[in-house]
Amino acid sequence: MLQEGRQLSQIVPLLVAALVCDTAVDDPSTGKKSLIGIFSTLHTFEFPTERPISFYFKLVDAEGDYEIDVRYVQVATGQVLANAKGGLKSTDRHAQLELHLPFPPVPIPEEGIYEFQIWANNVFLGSASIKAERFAQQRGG
Amino acid sequence: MVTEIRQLSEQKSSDIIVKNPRLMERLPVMLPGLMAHLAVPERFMLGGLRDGRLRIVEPIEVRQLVEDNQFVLEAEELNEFGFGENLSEAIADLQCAIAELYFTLDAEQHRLGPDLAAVWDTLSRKVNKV
Repeated sequence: MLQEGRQLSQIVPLLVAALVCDTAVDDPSTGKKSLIGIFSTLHTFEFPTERPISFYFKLVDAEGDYEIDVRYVQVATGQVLANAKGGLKSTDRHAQLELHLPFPPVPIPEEGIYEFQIWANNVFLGSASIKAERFAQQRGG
Repeated sequence: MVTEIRQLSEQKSSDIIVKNPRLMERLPVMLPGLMAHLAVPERFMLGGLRDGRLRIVEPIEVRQLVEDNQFVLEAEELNEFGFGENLSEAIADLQCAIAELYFTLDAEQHRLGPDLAAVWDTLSRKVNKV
């Protein structure tokens, strides 16, 4: 987190990508990120349930200090079910900033849409959503 | 970026969840004091439009209200509204409305009356083409 009294940037970063996936891996030698199992719908036999989820996003045109807040929200109720906060400092406005957040199992209370909202310095930049559905069981006979 | 969430060990992932393993036992690790907080405050700043042609360079203040069980978002300085059954829908509707307003006023900017000219003045300062 940023220290108190530090000036937060007034520059609004541009969100160019936001994806939900099973996991994301950093190559330690190159810094490249690999996203594994990108999805937008998940199926479950019963609710409530939970699931570990990785969230990846990329920002451009950021300069200065930012407080980043990623909120996992149940769209139907508007409630924040989980979040991740952190400080981000960008010294090069031309740099592309990639971040991935491996969330521990997040709650999925019921069918519906859930989204990951990205806030930078309390400014809403955008979101990526997933849909949770009940798994349709195949029944024989 | 340093996050406050717990790091996960590598684990197998699937988009089919078969069990419901003790939901609440594992949540407090990542949710200290945040359960049931509303995602969006009554007034907030909008910094994106979901339109690849446009970007917001100066945040747009948005006020939210609920009317007839419908979420209404108002960008007062632009006199523009977004509606939806939930906040996320209302945000998306407002983003779309602002983008449409931008292109409409941009095309007609030399024929605008004083009120719309003032809106265009604000909008063109806060939103740029990419």
